[in-house]
Amino acid sequence: MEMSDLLQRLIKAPESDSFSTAREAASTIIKERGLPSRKNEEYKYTNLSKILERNFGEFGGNEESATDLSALIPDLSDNQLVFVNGILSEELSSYKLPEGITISTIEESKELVEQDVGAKSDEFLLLNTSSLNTGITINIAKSALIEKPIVLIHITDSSKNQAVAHPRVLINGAESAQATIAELFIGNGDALSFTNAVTEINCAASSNLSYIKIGNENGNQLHVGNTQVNVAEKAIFNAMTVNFGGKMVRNNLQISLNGSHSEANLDGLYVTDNKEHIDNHTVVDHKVPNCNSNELYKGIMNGSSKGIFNGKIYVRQDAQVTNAFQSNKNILLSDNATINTKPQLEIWADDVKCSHGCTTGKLDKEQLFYLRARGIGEHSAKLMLLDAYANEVIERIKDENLRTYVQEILHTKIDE
Amino acid sequence: MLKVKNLKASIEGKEILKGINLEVKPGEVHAIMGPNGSGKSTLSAVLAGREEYSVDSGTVEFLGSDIFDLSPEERAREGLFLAFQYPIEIPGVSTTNFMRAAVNQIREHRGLPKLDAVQFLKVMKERMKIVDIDQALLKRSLNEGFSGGEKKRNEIFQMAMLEPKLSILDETDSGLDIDALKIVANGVNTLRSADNATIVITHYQRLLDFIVPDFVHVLYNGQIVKTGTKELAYELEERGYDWIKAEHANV
Repeated sequence: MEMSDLLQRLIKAPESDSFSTAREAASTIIKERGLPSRKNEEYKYTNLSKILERNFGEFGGNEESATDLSALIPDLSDNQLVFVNGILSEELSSYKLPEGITISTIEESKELVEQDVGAKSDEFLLLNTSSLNTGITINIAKSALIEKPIVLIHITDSSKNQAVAHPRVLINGAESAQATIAELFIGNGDALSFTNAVTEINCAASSNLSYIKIGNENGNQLHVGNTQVNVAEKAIFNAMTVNFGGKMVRNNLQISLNGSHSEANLDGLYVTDNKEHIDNHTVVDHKVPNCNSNELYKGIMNGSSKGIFNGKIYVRQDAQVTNAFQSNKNILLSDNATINTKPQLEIWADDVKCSHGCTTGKLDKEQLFYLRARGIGEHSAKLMLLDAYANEVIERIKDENLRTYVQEILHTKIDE
Repeated sequence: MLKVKNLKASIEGKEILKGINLEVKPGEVHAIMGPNGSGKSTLSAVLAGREEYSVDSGTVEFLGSDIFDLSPEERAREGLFLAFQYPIEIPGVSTTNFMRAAVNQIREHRGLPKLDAVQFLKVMKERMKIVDIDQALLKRSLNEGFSGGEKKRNEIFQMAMLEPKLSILDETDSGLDIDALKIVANGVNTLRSADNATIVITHYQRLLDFIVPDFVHVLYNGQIVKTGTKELAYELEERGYDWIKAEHANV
């Protein structure tokens, strides 16, 4: 299929509304540039365009699902917003928003959307903007303390036809606000689907926001997620990205530390099997002095699956007294599984503490033998070690419901 | 209980055990002594089922069955216990959870009902006293950041929990100060009975003041070259191993 035909099919836009300017601008650029090929350094290992070109025919509209989607929805919070193929479903959602949280369409922030459209923007972000319908904005009021997480559940439904979804979420945490927002991506149906999500998060001064992205997609799903975060002074932002599968998954997490004394914590876990392909690209941009970032990504790979970790840390010239740490650890459970890991540190300031490290290995034989020598069977010994390994990341999810949910998926996945 | 006949084993093509013969009966304590590199740790590793060693010939019978038909976990469930010379650290797995899994899998194997959390805790508290180990330590990641003495005490605590028939203590005394040594030895003695047996592997006689052996074997160059009673251990302490080496220079 020609790129132009493909783009014609991927872009699913309504005729006209308040986003028409942004949409037109984005689609002009993306039609000129096309989707990234292997030649694009950023997408060298993750050639989504090829799969899309070869496999995507006509996408269905938002037809009614062939199955009852409510059966797929886990009960994670009092506040769950459910999206089907990128569109909010009032019927499947259930929420009684606590004081301090408001939800609206993204229209009131259309300037922000327009700002994202540029010659250098990520191609998939542009594609998302080209298809922007209503999107959703979550505003957390000044000094609001929201205890329970707000959970957004995205179902890409390809039970009747191949499907494409372009979810768009904007999260604004006002000054001193505290909240946890989680996004869960799942699928339904056997036909190929493509989820192209964009989430933008603005953390105002002294806010404390946690963002948890859980990908539990099936082997027919392609996924690209662009998560862009701006962190103002004295704010703390915690990102957790866990992935349990999908045909091909690419997460772009980009965090700008724009205000001094701000902090970003990035945790990640990816557990892959069969021919799954999971690619995590992260960027932490230290723009101002006295900021900290800590990053820990861990992988467990089985079958002939493939993992990619690329972690960029920029420390700009003004960003003196920066602490930036990064670590990527991998366990390969099969000889055919692969991981490409690449730290990229670019440092212009001189008063900086910065470190990175990566390890890749098999399950520790000595540990395994020790457990077995005490009567624990080989299979349960392996599970025990993998569980402990993954828990270093998962235990950082503070909300018990979400943590248990993630642990359960982990157990199912590693027990296969 | 344990019958080792002409056991030969190697690692990476290098023969370490060159024909070991040893019989251990219920109620007995055997000490295996020998200079460094004589094959003491290889013997314990082969008995416990470490896969990197290959057994080239000979037989080992444990409680009537061929030990080489059993996986490491099956040997443990049948009642074999190895106290490691260097206990392994496992981040993220607490001693408590690890022991609960081990105890219950062994109980399942023996046809006993699993212990629930309350029952397990009760047993654990009882056995903790034997080696004077603190519960806080058992809640932490297994052996991670433990002192040398704490690790060895944890080994004997595990032995107390699993109630083995045959325990092999691989240089449990190495790196222990005298107080820790006494605690460990006292634990082992408390667990001794007419139904179980112990093999104490050591380089020094010191531990044998506290765990008194019925037999002392000298392992040298992959073979048991001398067997005696506890007096042999004193002789080795006094004269060192050179006379053994001289006597068997051509072995």
